[in-house]
Amino acid sequence: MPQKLKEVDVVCIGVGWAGSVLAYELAETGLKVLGLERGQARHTVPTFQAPAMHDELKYSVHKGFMQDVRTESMTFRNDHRDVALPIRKWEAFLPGTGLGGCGVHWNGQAWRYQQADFAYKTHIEQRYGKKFVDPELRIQDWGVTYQELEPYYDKFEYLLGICGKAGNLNGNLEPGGNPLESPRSREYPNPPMKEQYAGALFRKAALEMGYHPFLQPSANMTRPYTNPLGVTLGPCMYCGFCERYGCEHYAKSSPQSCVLPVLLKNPNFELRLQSHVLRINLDNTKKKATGVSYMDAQGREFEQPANLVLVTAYALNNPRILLLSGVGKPYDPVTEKGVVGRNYAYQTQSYIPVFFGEDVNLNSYMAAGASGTVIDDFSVDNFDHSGLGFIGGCYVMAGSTNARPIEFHPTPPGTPRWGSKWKEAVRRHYNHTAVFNLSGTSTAMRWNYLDLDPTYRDAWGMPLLRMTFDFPDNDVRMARHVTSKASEIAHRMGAKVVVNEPRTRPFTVTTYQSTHNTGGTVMGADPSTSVLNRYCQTWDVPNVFVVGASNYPQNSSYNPTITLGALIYWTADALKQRYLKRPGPLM
Amino acid sequence: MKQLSPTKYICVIIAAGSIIGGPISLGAAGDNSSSGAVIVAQGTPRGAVACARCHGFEGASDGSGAFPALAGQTEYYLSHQLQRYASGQRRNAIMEFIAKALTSDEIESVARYYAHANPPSYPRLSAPPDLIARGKQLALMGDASARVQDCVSCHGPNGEGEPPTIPYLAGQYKHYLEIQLLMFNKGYRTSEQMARVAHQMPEQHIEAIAVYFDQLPRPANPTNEEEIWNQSTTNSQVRRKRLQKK
Amino acid sequence: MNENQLSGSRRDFVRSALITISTGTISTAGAAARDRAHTPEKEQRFLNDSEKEFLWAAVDRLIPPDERWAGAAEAGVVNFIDLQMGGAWGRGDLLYMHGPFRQGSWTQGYQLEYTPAELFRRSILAINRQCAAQGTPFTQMSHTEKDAFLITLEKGELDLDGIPSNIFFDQLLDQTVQGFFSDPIYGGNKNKVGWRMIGFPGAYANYFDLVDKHGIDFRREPLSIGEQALAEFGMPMKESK
Repeated sequence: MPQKLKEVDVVCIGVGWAGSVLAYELAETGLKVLGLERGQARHTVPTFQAPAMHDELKYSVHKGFMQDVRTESMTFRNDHRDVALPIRKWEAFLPGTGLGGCGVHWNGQAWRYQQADFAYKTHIEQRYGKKFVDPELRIQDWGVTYQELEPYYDKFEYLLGICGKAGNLNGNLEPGGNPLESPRSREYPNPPMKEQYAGALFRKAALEMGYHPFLQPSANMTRPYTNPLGVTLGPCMYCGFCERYGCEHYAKSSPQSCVLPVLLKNPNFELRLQSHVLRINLDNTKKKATGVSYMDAQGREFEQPANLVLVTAYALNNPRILLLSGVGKPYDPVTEKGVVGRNYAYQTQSYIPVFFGEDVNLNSYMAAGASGTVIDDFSVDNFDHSGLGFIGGCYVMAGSTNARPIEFHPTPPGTPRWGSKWKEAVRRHYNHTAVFNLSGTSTAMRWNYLDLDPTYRDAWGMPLLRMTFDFPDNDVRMARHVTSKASEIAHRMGAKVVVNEPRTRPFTVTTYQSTHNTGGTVMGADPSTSVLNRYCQTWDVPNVFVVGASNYPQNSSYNPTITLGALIYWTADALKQRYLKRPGPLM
Repeated sequence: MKQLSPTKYICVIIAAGSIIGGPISLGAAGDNSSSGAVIVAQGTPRGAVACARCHGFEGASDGSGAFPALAGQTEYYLSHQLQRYASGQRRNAIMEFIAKALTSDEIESVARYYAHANPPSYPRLSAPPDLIARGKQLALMGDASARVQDCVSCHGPNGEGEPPTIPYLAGQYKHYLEIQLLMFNKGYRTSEQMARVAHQMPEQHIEAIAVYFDQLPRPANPTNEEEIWNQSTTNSQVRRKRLQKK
Repeated sequence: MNENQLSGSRRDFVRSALITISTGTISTAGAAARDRAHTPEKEQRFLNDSEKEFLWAAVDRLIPPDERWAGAAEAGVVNFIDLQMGGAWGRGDLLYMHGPFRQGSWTQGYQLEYTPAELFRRSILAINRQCAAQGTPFTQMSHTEKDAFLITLEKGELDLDGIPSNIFFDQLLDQTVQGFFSDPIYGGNKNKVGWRMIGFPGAYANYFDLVDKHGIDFRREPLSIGEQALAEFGMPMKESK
């Protein structure tokens, strides 16, 4: 019989960005908040200290900070008619675990979404007409606008200390920033990063071609910064061990470097590590959560009563928890009924390796997670798609986040995969090759979804999440177009060889692309196509809120984290100003 | 350590000149390392005081810790610090005037000279073993409660520096290290990299870290010709790029 | 118990500790560095002698030596593979190894029931058997013959006791690249040859002052995670070439 514990006001399932910031916001109001994190403690000292941290084999190849696939993985298939099989080793995307979650080992690329993103369906249909959109696609409006979220974007950016230059301040275009961004009310808290050589070459070529290059907004600090909570971050050292690694210098914004030092001191907050939540418990009406059940490291099960349950367990785990708990109706792509698991999307990543002469020393290992020079001219709907036959787009980034040799040793086309010619090509090209990163929209479609696997289970006996996904044809056409445009810039940079690598079908779990999984607990105005209302509250169970990129109806061109931050603060406000004053459905 | 008398300096120069090869002439554009030796021993016509007065002809200073050991710091780092003194970015009542009186070429010369200087090791003050051990822990692991990261990830394994930009700490004088950390801590010495670290560091950590590095052996200078060439190629290219930016 | 036996057991402990090292266990790494003088390669860990011989010959073709730079074999890749296969990776601790096991599409990745160590053992046994049956062991083939054989493995043209040969080949190539470029604390990348060849400076990485010095020809002795231990125990930091 599981032991029943003392009730708390709020329980957060997962203590990453969403869990820690929401916990902070609510604990400050006097509520008793419990954070249940299934992973272990992670702290800058000692966990992230270098040089031991700079271990490519351990953290990149063997995924040291990632979810332990041995105990819980997920299954995958491209098509709903296939049999899904387990992902036995993470490659394509890398779900995190542990205190701080993905916030520990992200790169820190810090983008806002566009105004158009939040009313994507309305915007696209108005601009191009309903018939412009492929019939299999399922684009939706979010139910909340960019204008409503703007103050919360600002708040999150100041919590993290984002480094950049505003391009659009309240409608006024500013030199040095991104002229295509949606308006912001304030300058960034810190100045932009230093520019790498590859970025500088890209900037020159892009300007000559009439594009608008700027430095990527970054959560790697450019100077010492004390955030509004009084926590101080240090400057980034451009060590080139950012994504998949923790930052030893307190320079990368993470729950550890921004929130936890204060949160962990608040007596209203309790952190329980190695606490694996099995399900949300519902009462007999199935419309009220009574708390959660979880298992500790010793395998003991506990019933944890709580008045409010916040599902903050990462985009892939959020839908799974709802499915395992019976919150919301599971989505069936054949009937198109149900909502949990619907509109799963990703990030359509393309690459352009650019090979230079041996006189061009790029020194790409001198890098930060978010260093890079970018153009926004081809993102989302920033360009006229008339006649092009697809929707969406990519931002184009030149520079590097790393040049760690096990995974980065580019060779030009025609080079064998091994042998002396391969070896010579690796030696010749390692320090003279840049790779453009094209980060593209991922459009939700009918047949891409998440549900529970019928066969495979985790170490606790619970069904694994099943992912059914392939790139919609629209996104493949989009990737081809933008890649071909971006490669013109590469040629202009004086490259010897330019290789177009637009994303194509099929999607494979065997090579890394991005950990930007979105959708599955979509927010919106219509309960027949969304799991959550605009306040991130589940339609079905009013005292369950979900805050993660699983809330996004489709994915924009940009990295999801800063938008998640805006939703975190937006939800915190909804809880404090509305829900907690009058618990119940907010819509 | 006793100060060398001026007479002894001159003897050493002449001896050094015969090793380096060729006559020494003041202000000659030829052999940089020998003109560096001259500046170190005699100062310059524009009024820069002889470096050796404080830093010793061998770059080991006088051992008191009032002046840092310079021997074996990279040419890049030494010339960079002199440039910072000259521009006022780094403040020191004595060094500012000296640095301002040096030309860019002279800075390069003395930096190169000290980069290759190789003094013998002098005995250190003893320190309590537990203080050294505490310093070692801080240097290698940092301090979670103070939110300070380790020293070695920037200052190199065993504090040997990360050439060319980051100086070695191993074998640097305890007193000098303490003063510099306090200066960083109080904001009198500025550095983008060191500001937060030193500001966060409680003063009781400073002595421990200083004694730990003091008792480590100074790292070996590069003796291999190719490495020296690589070091100076890097340094001169970096320097050229930096000068171009101005 | 004589000194060698004591050293042996401490070495075993230290080596297995080295694989699961997290942070701050500097003295452990130092002891391992000191013990390298006792020629650990002669010690039996996972690979038996015929596996080591095959692997030496194979990795020597995957990344061959040239006039300037050692190849995978001299770089200690077989030692690396031995450690990997004998450790958590080889045991399958880093994989989801629950059944049922079925074949799927290539997009679904590895689906065999074998742990990496099992895969290597079975595959190499099958290869050695097949080569022996055809008259020439792999280790005795000429370079050209070896390369041709590796290509047939790569293309999946051989059945290795139920294992498609391309699956084994891909894992072998992965292990070789990892062994050539990973930090030397893992037993490969001897003398940091992989890093020297490409100009990667290693685990000590602070480029705050250099990142925007565009185009500089930056050369520095590559530094390994184990450098601190080496420096501390008085072993020369710069290994002889």
